[in-house]
Amino acid sequence: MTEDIILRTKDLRASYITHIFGTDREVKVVDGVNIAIRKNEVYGIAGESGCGKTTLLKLIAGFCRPPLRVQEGSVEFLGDPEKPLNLLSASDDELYSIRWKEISYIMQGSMNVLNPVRKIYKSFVDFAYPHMSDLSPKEFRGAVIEHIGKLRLGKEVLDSYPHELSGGMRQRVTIGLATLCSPHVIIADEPTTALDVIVQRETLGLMKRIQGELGNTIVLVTHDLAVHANMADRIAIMYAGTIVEEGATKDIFENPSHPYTQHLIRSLPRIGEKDRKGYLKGAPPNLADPPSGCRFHPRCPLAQERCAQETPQPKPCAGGTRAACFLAE
Amino acid sequence: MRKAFAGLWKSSGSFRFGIISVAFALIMIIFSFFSPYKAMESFVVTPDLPPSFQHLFGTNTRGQDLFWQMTFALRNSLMFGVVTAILSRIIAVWVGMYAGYKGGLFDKVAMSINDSFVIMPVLPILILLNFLLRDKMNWFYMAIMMALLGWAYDARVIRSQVLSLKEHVFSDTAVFCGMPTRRIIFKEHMPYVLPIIFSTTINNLLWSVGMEVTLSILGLTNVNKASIGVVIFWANQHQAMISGVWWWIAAPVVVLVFVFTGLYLLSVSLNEYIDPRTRLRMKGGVA
Repeated sequence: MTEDIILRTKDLRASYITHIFGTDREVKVVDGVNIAIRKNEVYGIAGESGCGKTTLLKLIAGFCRPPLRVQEGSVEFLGDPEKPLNLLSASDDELYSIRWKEISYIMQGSMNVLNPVRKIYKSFVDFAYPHMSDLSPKEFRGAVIEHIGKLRLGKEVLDSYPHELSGGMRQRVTIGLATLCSPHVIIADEPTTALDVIVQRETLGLMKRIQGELGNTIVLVTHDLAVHANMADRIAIMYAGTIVEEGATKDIFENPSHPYTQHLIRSLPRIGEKDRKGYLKGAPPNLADPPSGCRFHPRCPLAQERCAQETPQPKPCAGGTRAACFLAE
Repeated sequence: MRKAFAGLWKSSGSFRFGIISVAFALIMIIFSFFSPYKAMESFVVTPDLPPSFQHLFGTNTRGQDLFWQMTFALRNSLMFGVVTAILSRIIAVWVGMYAGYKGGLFDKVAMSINDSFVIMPVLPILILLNFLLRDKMNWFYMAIMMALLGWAYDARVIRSQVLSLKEHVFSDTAVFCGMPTRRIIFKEHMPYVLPIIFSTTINNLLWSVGMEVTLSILGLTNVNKASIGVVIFWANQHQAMISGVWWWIAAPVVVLVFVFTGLYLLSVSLNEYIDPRTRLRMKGGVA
């Protein structure tokens, strides 16, 4: 399977480190993450707020700026399988050559990716044109019009300001912007969170269609498991900076092995169910002072003594997923 | 452009007043090129005549026609103000935008220099410098000096805007796309900051003209070159108030107040229009 992999992280450990008046504070947001994302798949990352999803995405995109600092590990981009490129140690020129062209990144709050005081076309020129400079300005405009046409946007959109478009249109423009250069990997951070369900469905359908046409990879982050169920081929569940379980979407939803995933799936409402949903007591840990051993053990109903001392490693389980839990079989 | 002008003219009283007074100032400046007398030439008309149709602002004890003298004075004073404002804008915009965007060490160093300039007592320094460099001082050197003393506060204001702008998602995306810093600052952030730059420019212009008047009244500039302050200086020298030639003082003061108020109101009304957010509102959006 290794030849299929386009992005992979190895033992990724990163923290937000701040020094305020001599007080150092370290928030360990990503702690030993190993994931391998394959070509031509939609890879979903799910987890509750503050578990490190966005930070992990930033690292995957090679967009690490202080106070975020990488302490260990690598993120390898295998656009050329012979020459893996470590995005965290690559030079600015190397990063520049792959950004937007190979890896594009739709940031959180993606409606605000467009500068409100610049016309849409200006944003295209600012963000994408430097990466397609083999085209003349005229050809570039033609390419943009053709591309957004595929997203059912007319060319008059290009000469509007962002506020003149509806939320759904803005979202489509953002997707158009991110897919214009046909990148191998599209990283999308909560692309549909601010939208209502109808626009959300349309947007997701569009992303899926484009992914099918271009044959590229989408890394999708959202806390909305319904979106994952519709979109993702494989899902990773994050908890407090670690990946607790990873597997094919069907297996995650049907046979979760990790107690956290089990509770997460069980909390989803299903049609026809009438009984009250159970919930987990407590709140996610403070990442400045995470619990020892398995980070989930203080809230885990099945916790044993061992869980507080040792950190479980992910292992294949009977359900088809890989779970980081001593009890998972 | 024409439509915008018509709209502003119709809806904004301050714009109307501003345009009229600026037009008045421009006409005065143009008149200076057609003056029958040289700016500081004395005893060319009957002295001490009150304002009349013959002599709009009257004549002074030195036998000068105050209207024609004011045309030169206004031209020189405004020229000085505009040059000072442009020079200090170059510093303020550059320092403010880069310090805000770059942060870190550059920001710290730039802001400590900036703060030192903010707290400097400008008037005593200017008096001292003018006193020391009296022979070498001309209006251009003075404009440079004023620009060096007048940029700091505005740089801080601009910086504070950029501090918030750089946290926007579009700034991050621009960085991610590999947009060079200079382009991010001048293409993405500049439209937001433009209204502030514009209003601080007018403020700075008014401030520097006011400073020039102050120094001239004290006799610290070249008193043989007409400017609004110089006219007041000579009026004081000849004790115009005591000898009853009140129009000698009134002419420069009224012209100055009129032009100041006009420029201020013009900047306020234009500022509202230039602000991209207003234009967004005009098109029915929110930002």
